[in-house]
This record gives sequence, structure tokens and C-alpha cells, in this order.
Amino acid sequence: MKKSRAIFIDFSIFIFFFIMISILAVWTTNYNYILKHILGLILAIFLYYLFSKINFQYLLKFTFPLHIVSVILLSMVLIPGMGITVNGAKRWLDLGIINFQPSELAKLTLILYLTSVFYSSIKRKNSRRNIYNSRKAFFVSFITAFLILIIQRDFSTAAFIFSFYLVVYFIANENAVKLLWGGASMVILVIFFILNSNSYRFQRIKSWIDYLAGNTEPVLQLKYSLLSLSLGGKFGVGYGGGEYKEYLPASHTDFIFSVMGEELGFVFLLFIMSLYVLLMYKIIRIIKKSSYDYELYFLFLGGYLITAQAAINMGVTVGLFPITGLTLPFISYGRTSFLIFMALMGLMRSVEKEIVRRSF
Amino acid sequence: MRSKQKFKYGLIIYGLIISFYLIIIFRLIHIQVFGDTEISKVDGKIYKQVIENELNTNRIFKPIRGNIYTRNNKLLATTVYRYKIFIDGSKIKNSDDKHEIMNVLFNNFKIDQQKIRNKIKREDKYIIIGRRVRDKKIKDFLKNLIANGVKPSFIKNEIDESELIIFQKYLKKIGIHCNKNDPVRVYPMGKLGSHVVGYLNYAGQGIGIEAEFDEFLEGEKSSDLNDLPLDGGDIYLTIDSNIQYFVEKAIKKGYKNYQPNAVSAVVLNPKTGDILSMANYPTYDPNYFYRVKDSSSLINKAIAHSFEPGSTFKLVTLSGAFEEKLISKNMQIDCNNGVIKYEGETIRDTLNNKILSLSEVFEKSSNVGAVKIADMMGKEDLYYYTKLFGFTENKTVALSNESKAYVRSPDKWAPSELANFSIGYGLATNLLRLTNSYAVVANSGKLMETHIISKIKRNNKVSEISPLEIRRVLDKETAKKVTDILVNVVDNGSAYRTRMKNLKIAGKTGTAIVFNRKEQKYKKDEYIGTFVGYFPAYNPKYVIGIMVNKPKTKGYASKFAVPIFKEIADDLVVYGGVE
Repeated sequence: MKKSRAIFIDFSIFIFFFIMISILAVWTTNYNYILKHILGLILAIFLYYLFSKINFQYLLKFTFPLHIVSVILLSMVLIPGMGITVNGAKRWLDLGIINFQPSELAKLTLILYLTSVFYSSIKRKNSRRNIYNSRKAFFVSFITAFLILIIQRDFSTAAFIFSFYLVVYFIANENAVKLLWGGASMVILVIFFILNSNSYRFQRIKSWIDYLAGNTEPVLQLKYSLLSLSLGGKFGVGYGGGEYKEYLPASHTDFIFSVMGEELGFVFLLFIMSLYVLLMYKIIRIIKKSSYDYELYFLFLGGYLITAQAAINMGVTVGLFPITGLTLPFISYGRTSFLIFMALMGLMRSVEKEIVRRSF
Repeated sequence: MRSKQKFKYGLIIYGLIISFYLIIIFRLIHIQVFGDTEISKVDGKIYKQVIENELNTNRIFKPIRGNIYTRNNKLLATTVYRYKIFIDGSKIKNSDDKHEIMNVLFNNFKIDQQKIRNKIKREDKYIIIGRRVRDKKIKDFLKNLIANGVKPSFIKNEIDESELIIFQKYLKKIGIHCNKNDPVRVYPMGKLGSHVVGYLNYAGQGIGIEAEFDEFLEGEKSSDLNDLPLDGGDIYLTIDSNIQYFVEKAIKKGYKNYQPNAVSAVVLNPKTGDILSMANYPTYDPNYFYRVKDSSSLINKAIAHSFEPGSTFKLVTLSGAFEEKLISKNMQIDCNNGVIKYEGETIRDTLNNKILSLSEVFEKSSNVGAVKIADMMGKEDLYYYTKLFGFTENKTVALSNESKAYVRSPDKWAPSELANFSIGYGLATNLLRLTNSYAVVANSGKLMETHIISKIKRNNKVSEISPLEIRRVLDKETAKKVTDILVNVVDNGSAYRTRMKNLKIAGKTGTAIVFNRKEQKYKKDEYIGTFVGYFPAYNPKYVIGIMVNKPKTKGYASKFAVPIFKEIADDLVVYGGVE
């Protein structure tokens, strides 16, 4: 078979630009990590290639056990000697060679699982089976989010993961009442969070609300982020010339966007954002040509994961969201996150190939 | 089959995300293109505090200790921060700005240039430039550094507060460390009111308001990074700085003239019980309390020194007898040529008094007369009035180190003790309690609680402390009769030295022989002279108590306590607008 053509811009073009930006960004924010990062990138490219070869329809049959595995991994951070505690939260698994963050994997496996559940529940016209499946999807999403909240004390990731369920529910358009049900469970999650959280976490959200209301100054990180962005101006102070990055906590992960804004300016930030938008447009173009609902679900959810997470990360740096731990997809340092996004991209490529082959 | 409906719904989700992207772009245009960070316009007070705390206390958020003011808002005690500056020679030596940094250092600080140069050459890591540098000097230093081009490129010619922390971190990187030291307590008025204000030593022990209200002044620190500490509250004393100054001036003069062990004075407002002034000499400067050699000068003797009051205590005998209607104004008392034997105890007057009117008994301070009046009352009544006047209360004011009251209950008295008690022996009190007993008469018979604090302030919430009447001791009429007699004491009697032309003053002197504890006997040449008086006699504004402890000059209280009173009264008449 000949090499299949891509729809709109090839995924590899996106990967090229993202990797270039990522190397630039991590190099300037944390020079010490750059070798590790480049190693991670090479592994990620390999992973993309591997996943693009996977038969997606075949993979859908194993989504539930896959997700169970990632949930088990999620709980494994609690095993003494396996979990690594950073900033009071257990988020990493020590796998010897590489420290692995299971919640990133859970994002991918949950998307796959939701895709298969909603696809199969529509495909089969048996209504009892429908209800059973969508309830199962709800409980699995809820428990995944709940575990992330309990074990990792990471509210932003938990809420974000649960939103996958709401999104696919909305797209599947089964029933508005059921969507309300989902919304209510989100509220329960939030209430639980408030009861479960210590004052520090709660304070962070409160101070952000105060800032939005114009009552107080922003918290230190946000203040530095805003100052560094404003310093960058239209064209930036020049690559490597950023002054605030040393004072900005987590500059190579959470606040990499503002460092780029300071060093390379507004124009470069627009370029980064346009990459995400173009990726979104490409995904829509692929969906338009798709012929099965599972392709539609998967591509919409995958695109949502990338672009919405990017929106949240960027929103934090300009003060639109309270400070979260969500990374900037394809750019932030954080190898688990990068690997997972590349695997996701690989799966999208596999779907794209399938659709392109079908249309010829 | 792919559903069109689902595609449409998916587009709605993506549309939402796109709208978020647009909002972020608007924000970025706002921030990056127009340079508005929305930071400058917010009241940055709380934020500044957090930054300062972070900078100075390694993220342990300490509260700021409250200030102490006088009632007329003069600052008596406050907290300032000093800086420690040191440089890292190994970094300075290899710095591009080496010459500029050294120039600024030598221009701003008086330091041995050659020594510093040598140390930098040796690459010493810890070269002290200054240990207790003032805030202003640090700011000048930082400004000069910026003016000489020692700065990161993003800092313009002037820095604002929020950039200061970054600038200081930058300086640390190039080897200049400016660290805020622990806070230093400063007493801007020095010796003024020092015994009331007090101090705390490094172990947190101390005296005065500083010790008594330590918790309130200190505030509560916060361990949570996002909580602000609860700053300490401010205390406003009832002390008036001007009156305090007059009093301290007068007792200092008295100390020089009569060379006693110590002089103490208390000025009260009889109507409210406010302590307008409380002072002792010798005194000390709380800024340098550790330099004081004679530790007794640290003691607030006006409340800490217990003594037998002597004749000034006759006020209680007189008032009690009047209230019980045992005596009258026109009464004649036979003073037996100045000697009386009471239950085996011989009591003498200083003069050979014969038959005296009631007024004359007090003008001449006849002991015999007082004993005879007390005999009419009996010991139960005398003790009852002593108690009413507040001589048995152990805590009269919110200050530490107050001496306990020593008054024995009458069932334990020896038969002759009534005579001694009536003239102020066999009980011990302090100057404040004694002065407050005169304030009872001045306040037409009502005993007020004495206050040293007029109001407290915390988080802009002010609580005023209002006057508190403890009890009515005397009838209004009785108080007026007592005042009549006390006015005569000043006009015709032992306190003639404080007579004034247009002003009626009421008061009573007392010269008590001191009981020497070592030798277990009264020594004739050691005495405490007291004078307590108030004016204007019939509408008093001030009650002043003076205590002169063991003067070297021979004589009676009329000679050394009364002139000090007069000195203060002269100033108060002008200051307080007393006619």
C-alpha cells in the first residue's frame, strides 16, 4: 500500500514545530533538564510512530482493561517505595529508569474507554444495554477523577478528567436530563474537594477570586507571570534574556508560556496559539471525512484534551484561571505528559490514515 | 455511520474553546501590547506586606509589634527594622561591575576602603559592610547602585516596591546581600514615661506595659503561607506627655536638691481615674536598659515600693469620723500637751499642742488629735474605711510589679495598734493607692478605678476604656467637709509652701519614719516624706502624689515633698488652664 496522504497539514509538521518550540522553551527556562528532555522527545517520536501503526478499531476492544491498568497504576503511588512525593502530593511512580506520572496515562485511556463505550451503546439498539453502558461510563470517569483527587490531591486534573465525560455526553446528545445528572456529580466533586482540601488550597482559589474582583493583588506567581508578560511586549526582550524566569516557580512547566512571552513576545505567543488552533482545524477536517461515530468521539475528545488543556495553562498565566498544575501540551517539560500527547497524536494519525484510505 | 448532529455538537465544544483562546489573546494584547498589568492600580498594601515578609523572614510570617502612644498621640515605643549588609568577595572580584559596586559601597558607607579591597582580593565570602543599617540608607544605597548601572536590564531607572524583591535577589546573585535583621524596639521619647512603658529583654522578660500587654502588642504569627499574620495592636496610655515632662522635670530637681534615695510622683484625674503621669527618679532610658548599673532605677517605685504612709493616712481617720458623724467642724480637741498613752503605747506630737480645733489638728498634723478621733471610731470602723478607700486591694492598675497591700484585719490587732493605725503606721501601701484615696475625696466621695490605658487599637478597631466607678466611699457633704480641712492645711498649716494666690489647693503632708528591717526597729534619721494634694480644691482637675524616699536633708515632708508638688502645680496651672 502506498503511503497515505494527510488531510490539511500533516501531523508531523505540527510535531516538528512543537518540538522546536519545546526545546527552545525548556532550554531557556531550565538548562539542566535539556538533555533529559531531548531524550524524552526522541522516545516520544518513536512512540508516535508506533501508535500510528496501531489498528484503532482493534484497540477499541481492549479499552476497558487498558483503563483499569492505568487506574491501578494510579493507586500504586500509595505503595511505599513506589510513589514519589513532590510538593506534598504523590503524583509520580518510580519505575527505575523513568519517573512516571500515571494521571497523564489515565487521560488517554479514559478517552479511549469513553469512545468505545459511547460508540457501542449507540451501535447496539438494545436500550437496556445503552443505559447500563452510559452509567458504567459515568462511574468509571467519576472514580478515575475521584482517585486523582484523593491520592494525588490534584483538583485541576481531576476536574479536567471528569469533563471528558461531560463533553462526550454532550456530543453523543443522548438526553439533556442525564447531562444535568453529570453536572450535578461535578458539583458533588467540587463540594467534596472543598471539604477535603486544606486551607492553603482553598485560599489559592479565594485569592484568585479576590484578584478577579479587583480587591487584591494577584498571588506572587501570577504577579510575576503578568510582569514578565508585560516586559516581553510585542517582540520580547530576546531569547535567553528573560529576567523573571528565575523567580517564577515552575517556569519550565506551568509558566513556560509567560517565559516565552517575555523572551519572544506577543507575536510568538500568537504563533504558539495558532498552532493549537490549526491542530483543532485539522481535527475538524478529519472528522468531516470520518464515517464512524467512534472516530468522531475519539478525535473530538483528543482535540479537546490538547486544546482545552492548553487554554487552561495559558489562561492561568494571564490570570483567567486559578493556578493549576496542568502543563502546556507538547511544550512544557514533563516527559510523561509529552509521551502521552505524542501517543495520542499517533493514534489520531492512525485514525486519519484509516479515513484517508477509506475515502480513496 | 457518522451522525451530523453529533458533529454539530462537537463544533459547539470547540467553539467554546476558541472563544477562550480569543479571551486569552485579548488579555495578552492588554498586557503585552498596552503594558497594563492591572497591578499598579490595586491597593498594594497587603501584597507589599507579604513580599516584605517573604523577603525578611524566610517565609515565616511574623506579625508587626504594636506601638505605644501617650494619650495625646505621642509615640513612646515602636518597632523598626535594621539591615545587615555583607558582600561575597569571590563574586564581586569576578563581576563586570566591580568598580561601580566598590565606588557605591565606599560612597555610601563609612568603611575602611583598603581593608575591604584586600578582603575582596582574597575572595572572602563574608565581608561585613554594616550590621544595623537604617532603612533610608539602604534605599539610598540601592538607588545609587541603579544609578551606576548595577542592575538587571529590565529594571528602569526607578524601582517600585514589587521590583525591589527581584532587585535584591539579583544583588544576591552578584554577591551583595542586604538582609533585614530582627526587629529592633525603639523608644523615641527616651526616658519619658520609661517606668510605665517598660521594656522587654532578649529573653522576652521585662517590665511595664511592654511586659504586661506583651501578647496584645506582639500579635499572632501565621504559619500558613497564604495567611497574613495578625499584627499586634497599638496601646494609647492615659499618660499625657506634657504633664509627664513637667513631673519628671520637677522630681529630677527635687532629687538634686534633697538627695534622697528616690523620688516618685503620680498625677491622677480624680473624675476618671486616669493616670496622667507616673514617674520616678532616678530613671533610665529603655533604649539602653541593659546599660543600667543600679538595677533599682528600673523599678517603678510609684507602684512597686511599699511603705508606711504616716500622716497622709490621717485622711482616712478624718473622713471616716466625719462620715460616721462622730466629729464636727467646730469641735475642740485636747491634745494633752502633745503626748498620749494609748494602751501602753506612747504617741507624741512634734509640738506641745494644747487644745486645738479640728482644723488645727490637721494643720499641725497632731498625732494625739488623730488618735483621739480614731478612739471614737473604734478599730472596726477604722478598718472598714481603710478598706473602702481601697487600701486592701492588691491590684490597682494594669501594670506588673505592683506591691501587695499590707493591711491586717482588726481581729489580729494588738490593743495599742488602733493608735498607730490611725496615724498611718502598721499598714503598708504604695504611692498610687495613697494618691487614689485622695482622689476619692476630690471626686466628691467616689472611688474610681485607676487606668493607665485610655484606648487600644487593633486592625483599625478602636476600643476606648471608659471610667469605672468602683464604689461610693463618702457622702458628697462629707467630702466637702474633708476638703475644707485639707485646704486649711495648705493655707495655714504644714503645706504652706505650695500656697497660691488665686488657687485653692487641698492636701496633706506625711513624714513617716522608716522601719529598718535589718535592725528590726524604726530609725529616727530615715524617713519617707509624702504629700498628696489636689486642685482646684472644690472642682479638682488634678490629684498629685509625691513620695520622697530617705532624703539626706533634715526636716519634714513640708520641706522637700511640698516644693516638688508646687513645681508641678505651677506648670499644670498654666498647661491645664486652671484658674
